Amino acid sequence: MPPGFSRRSLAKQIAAAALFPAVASPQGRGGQAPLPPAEQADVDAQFATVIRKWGDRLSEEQRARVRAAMVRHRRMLMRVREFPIENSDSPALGLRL
Amino acid sequence: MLSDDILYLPVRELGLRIRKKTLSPVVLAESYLERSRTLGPKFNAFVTLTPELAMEQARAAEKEIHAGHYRGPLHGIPYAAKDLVAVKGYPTTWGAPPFADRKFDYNATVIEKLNAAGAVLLGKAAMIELAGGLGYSNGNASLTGPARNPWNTDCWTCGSSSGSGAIVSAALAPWAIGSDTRGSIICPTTWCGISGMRPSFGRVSRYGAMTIAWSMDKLGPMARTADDCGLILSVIAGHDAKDHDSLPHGVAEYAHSGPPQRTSKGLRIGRLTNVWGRVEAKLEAAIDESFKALEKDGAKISDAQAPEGPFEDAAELTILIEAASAFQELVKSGDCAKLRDPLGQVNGYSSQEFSATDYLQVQRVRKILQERMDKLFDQFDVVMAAGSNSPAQPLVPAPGGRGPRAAPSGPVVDNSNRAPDGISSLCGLPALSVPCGFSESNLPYGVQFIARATEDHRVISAARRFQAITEWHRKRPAIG
Repeated sequence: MPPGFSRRSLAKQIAAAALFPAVASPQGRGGQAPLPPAEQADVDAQFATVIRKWGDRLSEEQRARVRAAMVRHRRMLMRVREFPIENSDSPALGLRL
Repeated sequence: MLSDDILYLPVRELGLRIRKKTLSPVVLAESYLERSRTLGPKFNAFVTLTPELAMEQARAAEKEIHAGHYRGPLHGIPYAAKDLVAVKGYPTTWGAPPFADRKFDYNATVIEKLNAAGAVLLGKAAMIELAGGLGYSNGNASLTGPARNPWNTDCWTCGSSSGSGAIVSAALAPWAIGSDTRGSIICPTTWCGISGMRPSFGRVSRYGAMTIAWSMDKLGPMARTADDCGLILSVIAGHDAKDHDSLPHGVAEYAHSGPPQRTSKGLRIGRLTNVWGRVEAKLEAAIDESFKALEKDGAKISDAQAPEGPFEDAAELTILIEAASAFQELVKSGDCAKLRDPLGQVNGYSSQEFSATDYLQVQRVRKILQERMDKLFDQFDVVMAAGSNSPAQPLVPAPGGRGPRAAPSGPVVDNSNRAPDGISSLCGLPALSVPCGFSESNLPYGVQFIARATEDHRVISAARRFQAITEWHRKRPAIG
């Protein structure tokens, strides 16, 4: 998988700017619009939780990396949430009996 | 020591010679082991060699075959296993420093199946730490450092099945087990100029293999040809009650056919036009030529559009959230700090904050996306696209002198469109990548075939036909 951020890629980060521009820098996609205020507030709250739980383990550089990851995760979640679904649309989960 | 001409033979041909007793499994194993000892370090491809086990298995195979007990196409055939597959009594490191000394007291199901088939395990293949499960930034993110590409050791192999790709490409073994959660077989296969397959989700048991994401992980073969992938799949596929997501009996098994189709007549191929975006001209030309070859062979080629939807995001989120659970103890204990990659050291903390609602939302969307993608195959038997949007990328010294990393440069690639591995992995579809040309720098290109879920035979059949009319898979790197 392409590197850079979450998993995969390599090539991606590799060709950093190239394949996955959205993950190429810790700040996320260069020139991207900031998160909407409500989303940013959520991310800030979650980041505060991470720092409360694990902050003693994290350097400033690592904290910045965590925050960048959370912003990136939020952007992905926002795109998924924009996808229209109905109440009856069930999840792709499987309990086999 | 056998010649390169022998060591680069496909599994099918090696098996035929072994069956006819014109090739000794013992000599074959010795030759691959010797090559792995002498040339292997150049590629950083193995974590552990298992010479005692290999020779024990090779001698047993030879004895049985001489006694008239031939078990099948992998009997006496050497292989390597990605180091996330448990082999009883040997280190299984998951490519990660926190697990450098860990051993399991049982075999993964896939190893049990290969033992029963009489295969010969040469060693454990290097890999990206945790197969990238907590994220990584470059090829240096491995317990053993970056695997080096046999076509150019200044280049990476891609990941996360990095060692498996190098091993097959350099003929340190005729085939290897890889794993693929979202592209970790297809990309190294492409960059290393070999043939590799990600089977349908659930076809090959993952019991005893490290988990990244339960709903996306697959094991599959990386080999010399598509035909070999089919042969190997016929051995390692099958229902396993120990894997919750194993396909049921009667579906999980794979029966590999004999000779390839005589032409591509009747094969409906879709050319995915809305993935990868703009790629370098020579790669585009190689893909064009691949379609022309298949069309000339009788296939019907039409443009195909992958359906709209947040496939990549859903795939990535599924992996992030499931990995946050799979590696929860590593994160909570703080041992993730021992990982090589700066991103992997901290990404688990951020992923712990996803909610159950987030996960369910992604899985509800996933089901719809899966249905949309499935409909595409009402029109096509297979769809095709480049295996990767670039050839192998160079390794350069990492900042801080920790060793090579993937260079932050490369061809200018437009990623405005999606990567097919995100789409197909999210939907559990089979894919098979084969070589289709070379870059200006003599690095391999690949083209991948993708089919409807559980229709693994279609990608194997189409890729076999492609290799029957092209010679790219016969090219070897000059590795001295």
